[in-house]
Amino acid sequence: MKCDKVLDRLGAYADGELSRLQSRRIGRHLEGCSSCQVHLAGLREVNRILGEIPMPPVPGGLALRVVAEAARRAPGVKRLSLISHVSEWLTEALQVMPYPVRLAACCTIIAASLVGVLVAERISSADRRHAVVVAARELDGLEWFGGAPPVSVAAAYLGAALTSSPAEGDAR
Amino acid sequence: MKRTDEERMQAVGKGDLDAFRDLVLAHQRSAWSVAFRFLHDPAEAEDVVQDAFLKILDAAHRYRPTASFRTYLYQIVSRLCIDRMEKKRPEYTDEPPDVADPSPGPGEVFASRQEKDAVRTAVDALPANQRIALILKHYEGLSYAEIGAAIGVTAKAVEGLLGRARSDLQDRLASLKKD
Repeated sequence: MKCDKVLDRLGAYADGELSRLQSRRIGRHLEGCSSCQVHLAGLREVNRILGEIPMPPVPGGLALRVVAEAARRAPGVKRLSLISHVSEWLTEALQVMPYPVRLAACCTIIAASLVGVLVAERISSADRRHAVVVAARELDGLEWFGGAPPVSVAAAYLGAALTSSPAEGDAR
Repeated sequence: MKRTDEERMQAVGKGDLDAFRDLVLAHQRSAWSVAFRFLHDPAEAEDVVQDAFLKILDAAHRYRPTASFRTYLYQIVSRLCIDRMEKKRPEYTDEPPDVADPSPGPGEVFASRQEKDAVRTAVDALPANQRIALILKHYEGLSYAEIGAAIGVTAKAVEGLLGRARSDLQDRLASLKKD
């Protein structure tokens, strides 16, 4: 291998960018060529000095400013909601669990969801019943019949009053 | 589980600003390093870093993970740096840049300081492509193929750019030693 060919590839040789074969051929040439050795030493010297040139640290708050500017310029881009974060966390957590634990966790989540739905339904229906009773008690003149037995004239009157419109009541 | 940069980019494309913040935090140092070493002006380097990340945000919905995110970032930062340098080319100064040097201690010899200044000035005098290739190689540790992807040339062309750049630097250093 001639010196000019070696010098062309000396940088790639120093950077470890050559194939093993090319690298070996250049290495063999360098062993017997003091001129190319001087070039390689010069190259390594430049690399060393380049490596010693300092750089000031990243300015404080740079990332914060970039993200703030991004949020300002792109109002359509929103942070993920709390629900998304929780679901993302759950998905990630489930992925790292062993299969039986994952199955148990899924069953627990489903059972907890069912219990939640049933409890909510009970609370809701109790609220509805309570609202009917309150509405009936607020009807004018009917408070006397609150304790009337189910089969009686008073009960029939109360039923008729609750189903008739106010206009009909006025006409009577 | 920690997401890869490519997964974060896909999340950014769907409007996830938290993923964008994670990308900025993870890569601000690299972007800053390239921009500052190229421009030697903290304010301009900061502008470049910000512009680069905002470009990434704008293009996130079109992003396809064909190359690594890092290469993609270097590509944008390099382009922005070269554009800025071309705009302010007439203002070139031969003075070594004013960089606070945290390393020099009492043991550092004057000659070494001179060498650094000479090399730094010589780096600044290099053509833009050579300079950016040198920065990406020496300070970011990119391979020739990665540098080529970042600046849009082949790996072989990167070898040529680096070869010419180092040859210039060696000449500058040799003439300094002769003086």
